[in-house]
Amino acid sequence: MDSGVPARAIMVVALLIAGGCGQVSSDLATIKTARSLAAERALVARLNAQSKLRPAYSKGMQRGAVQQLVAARSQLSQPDGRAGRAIGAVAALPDDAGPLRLGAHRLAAVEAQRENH
Amino acid sequence: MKITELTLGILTAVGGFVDVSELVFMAQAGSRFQYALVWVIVLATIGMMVFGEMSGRVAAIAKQPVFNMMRHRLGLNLGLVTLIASLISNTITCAAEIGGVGIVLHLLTGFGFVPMAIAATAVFVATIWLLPFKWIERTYGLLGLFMIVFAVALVAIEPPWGQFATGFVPQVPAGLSTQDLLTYSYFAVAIVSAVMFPYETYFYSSGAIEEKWGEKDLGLNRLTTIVGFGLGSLLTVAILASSAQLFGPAGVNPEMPGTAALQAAVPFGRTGLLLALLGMLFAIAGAAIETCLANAYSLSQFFGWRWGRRLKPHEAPRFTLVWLVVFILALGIVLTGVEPIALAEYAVVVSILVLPLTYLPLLLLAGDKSYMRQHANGWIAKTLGWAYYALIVVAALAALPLFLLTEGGKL
Repeated sequence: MDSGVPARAIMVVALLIAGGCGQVSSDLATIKTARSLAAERALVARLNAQSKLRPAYSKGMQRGAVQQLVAARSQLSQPDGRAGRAIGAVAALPDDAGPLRLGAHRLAAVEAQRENH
Repeated sequence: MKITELTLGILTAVGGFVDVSELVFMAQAGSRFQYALVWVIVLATIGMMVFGEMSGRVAAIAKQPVFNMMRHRLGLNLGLVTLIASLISNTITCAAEIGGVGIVLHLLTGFGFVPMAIAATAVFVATIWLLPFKWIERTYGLLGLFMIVFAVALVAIEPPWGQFATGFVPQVPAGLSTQDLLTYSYFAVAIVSAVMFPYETYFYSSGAIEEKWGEKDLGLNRLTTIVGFGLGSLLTVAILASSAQLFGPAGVNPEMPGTAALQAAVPFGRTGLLLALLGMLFAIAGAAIETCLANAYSLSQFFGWRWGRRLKPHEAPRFTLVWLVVFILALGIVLTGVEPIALAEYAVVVSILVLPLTYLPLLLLAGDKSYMRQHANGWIAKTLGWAYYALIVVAALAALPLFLLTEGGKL
């Protein structure tokens, strides 16, 4: 087999993967991620309130989710737009299931609006 | 064949089946599409059994590890391309596993993620340096059996069993939008890749040679791949099904590796959570070691260097150097701050591209009577082998476009 063919093929694939990995997520994908993170925070907070979680786990999960929410907001094309503000609000909420669930619903509404456009 | 040996072999395969990519993709797939992707796990597991059995048989009879035959069957150039792609894929996978272990340790102890990832890597290096192959495999495989808590948790939360059973039937859910259909296809391809990761074959066949398998071990090989992998895949089905039941309705599409542990916390509280985290820790740690060693095996076999954990580190210096460098590289990737979930996604996409090149020489050699004599592929192995080969070629062609079109399953 001509050695140039597989070499070229792998280069093209590598470039595509690098392009794919390095691509900036669309706003819709970022909002979906943020909505899920808000729901994860709410679920962890609810189970923690029921004494079903260990403190290290609960704290670690909440901190990890907040960091990812902050990062998600900065990835938006308009971090101070409606979606960005909603994500920022969820990131700032305390570890309380009720408000976090409401925050997740708000993000779900933003997500639905984007999907319909 | 000793019954203890057999049982340990099977249990090790069960405990070592799950890794960070499976945890991520099964949980996300269940949350997003309920039980509709269960059949893909079954399909991919049978494929893993077919190729796993073949690689063990070839190692036992022809005494050929995967990368040795790859060079002979594919030629130097294509063999080299496969080698490079495998090294990249395994290193990314190893980084994802180290990141996953770092997170689980952080969630267990409360200590920082970075120190935990570094400490875990140091433990992995010490493990490989000090323990013989069998003990490495068994320690992590058997401790990974804590993962059984996921199957017990599924029973405890009492999912709608009828609906769950329909998941075993091949299907495309009705009423999906074009975007959802693409995402469904992406998850199907990702599950095939995560279950049939190429490093598993490299590690399994090299392990068979490390343990000096011969004709007498063919029964153990068959039982390990069929029963061990089969039971192991039940754990992944349980993760998907619990996710469908608990996460989907809550709007959770797990974005963090630690989220899966909640599945055991819901029915069993703190004890369930602890068992789940321990199971995840050892299963992912075992995979980190396997992916790292898989790279050292691949490179050494390809270039004909002395290799194996049966040799002391100084007796196989290049082999030793490779696995040490792989750990350093993988840890370096983790320390750049890339999310382990993102690494798992990249690993799955890169791996599926390597699969066809990995399995072709295996399929050819396993069917070659001049090497395999009466143990060459029969009509069942031949039919299943080529059918699965066609499937992974299609999956490999579709993987990258689907990854890009769905933004890694996020849309």
